[in-house]
Amino acid sequence: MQEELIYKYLSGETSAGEERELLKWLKESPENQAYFFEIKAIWNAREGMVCNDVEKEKLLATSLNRLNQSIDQYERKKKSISRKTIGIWSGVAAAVALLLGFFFLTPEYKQADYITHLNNYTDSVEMITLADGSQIWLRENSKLTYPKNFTGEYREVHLEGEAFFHIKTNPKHPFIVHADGELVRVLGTSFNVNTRFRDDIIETILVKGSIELQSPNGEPLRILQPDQRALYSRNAKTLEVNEVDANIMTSWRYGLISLSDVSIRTILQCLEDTYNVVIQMDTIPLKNRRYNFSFKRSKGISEALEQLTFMTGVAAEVNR
Amino acid sequence: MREDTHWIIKVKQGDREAFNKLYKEHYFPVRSYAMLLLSANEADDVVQDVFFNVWVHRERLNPELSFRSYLLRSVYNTSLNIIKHNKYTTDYASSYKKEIEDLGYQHYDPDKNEVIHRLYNQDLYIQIHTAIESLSPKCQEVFRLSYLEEMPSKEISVRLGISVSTVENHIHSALKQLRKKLESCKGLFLLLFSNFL
Repeated sequence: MQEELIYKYLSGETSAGEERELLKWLKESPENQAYFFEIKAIWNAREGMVCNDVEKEKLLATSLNRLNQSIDQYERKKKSISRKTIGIWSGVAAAVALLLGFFFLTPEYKQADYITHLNNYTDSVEMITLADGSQIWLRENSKLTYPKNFTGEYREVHLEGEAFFHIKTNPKHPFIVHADGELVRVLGTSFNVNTRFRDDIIETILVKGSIELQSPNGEPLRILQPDQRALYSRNAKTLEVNEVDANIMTSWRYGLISLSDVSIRTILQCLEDTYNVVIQMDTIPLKNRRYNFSFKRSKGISEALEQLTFMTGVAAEVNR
Repeated sequence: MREDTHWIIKVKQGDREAFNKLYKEHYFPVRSYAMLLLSANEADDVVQDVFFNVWVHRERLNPELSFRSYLLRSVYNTSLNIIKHNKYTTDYASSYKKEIEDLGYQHYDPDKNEVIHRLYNQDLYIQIHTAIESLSPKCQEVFRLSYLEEMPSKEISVRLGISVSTVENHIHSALKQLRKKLESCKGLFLLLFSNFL
C-alpha cells in the first residue's frame, strides 16, 4: 500500500526492496510523483518553522556570524584594492586620486529619507501631503511609504492597502505608485488604488487625468481613462477594465462608502465587512437586480439597513 | 513579509543592520527549502552564499519584487549546480534512494510548483498551523505529536492507546489534507504547469 510506503520513506525506515517498489510506483505516472514529492515537501517543512527554541537561536546566530565575517573580509579586500590603486596614481594630481576614491568608496545610492505612514485608526481616513504638494488620502489599515524629498527622475511611493491620490503634474518626473504587485505610473491626476480588493486582485480607479498600469517589472499593461476601473490579478497577470462612476466609487474619502452597479449580495457583503455583523435578508427575489448604494459609515448599521429595506422593499436586519 | 520592501531599500543604501534583519527573517524557511535538495550543512552553506551575493550585488535588488521568491529561486539554481557536481561523490545507502531523489528535483522548482510556492513563499508557521487546525480532532492530535513534536509513531500509539497503523494512517491523511490546502487553486496550477511543459 503506497501510503505506508511513503510514510516509511519519510521516516527513513524503508529497506532497499521497499525503495525499489516506491521507485517503480513513482515512475508509473507524473501524478504519482507530484503527489509524493509535495507530501515530502510538506513533511520536510517542519524544519523551517521557528519555535522559540534555544537550539535554533544558536544555529541562526552562528550562521549569521559566519556570513558577516565573509562580508567583512570581502569589504576589506575591496578597500585595499582601491587604496593600492590610489597609491599607484599618487604621482598624479591630488584631484585624480580623489576621483578614484569616490568611485570605489562612495555608496551607490544617494541617501533618501523614507517615511512610513501607517493608518491604523479603524474608522477614519488620514490625509498626507507629499514634498511636491501631492495629496494622498490613506484608508484604514493601510500603509504608505514615501521619501521626505523627491530626488531623481521618478517620484516613487509604496502602498499597501487603499489610498486615493491627488498628484501634482510634473511631466519631467513621472509619479509611480508601487502597489504591492503592480505599478501605477502617473503624470498628474486623481485616482484610487486598492491593493487588497480581493485575494490577489489590485483595484485601480481613475477619476481625472491619465495613468498607465504596469506589471511589477515595468512592462506596460494599459493606459486608463477617467471613469475607468481596472482589476489586476497578481497571480494570473490578467487585467480587466470596466466603466464606473469614479467619483461615487471613491467617495469613501469623505466618510461615505459607495457601491455602484452591484448585486444585493455585494451590498450585504460590504455591510457585513464594514460593521462586522451577519445580516438576515431574503435575497432571492432580488437576485438579478443591480443597485447603487451609498451610506455614511458613521450613521451606523441600523440606518444603513433601513435605507436598504426602503430601497429594495425587502426587510433586512442584523442576525443576533 | 510586506516589510521587506522597507529593509531592501535600506540594504541598497548599504545598511548592514537591515541586511542582518532580512537574514533572520528568512533564514529558517529558506534553509528548510534548501534541505529538500541538500544535506543540512550544505543547505546552510547555500543560504549563506545566496545572501552573500545579495549583499555584494545589492544594487540589483528590486524592492518591488518578492524577496522570498528571489531567495528560493537562487537557492534552487545554486543547489542544482551542487547536485550536478556531487553526482559521483554522494553516498546513498541504496541506489534506489538516489534515483528517487533525482526524480524529485524538477518538482522542487519554487516558481513552477504550486504547493512549494505556497509553502515557502509565505509565513511557513502560519500556513501550516492554519492548515493543521482544520484537521479533524483525532487526526489533528496524532499529527501534532508526530509533526510538531517529532514523536515517533510507536510512542504516539502507546500514548494514545491506538495501533501504530492507525497512527500512520492519521499522519498520512493529514499530509494529504495539508497538500490539498496548499494546492488551493488547481486551475491556476495547471495553467502554470502547462506553460512550461
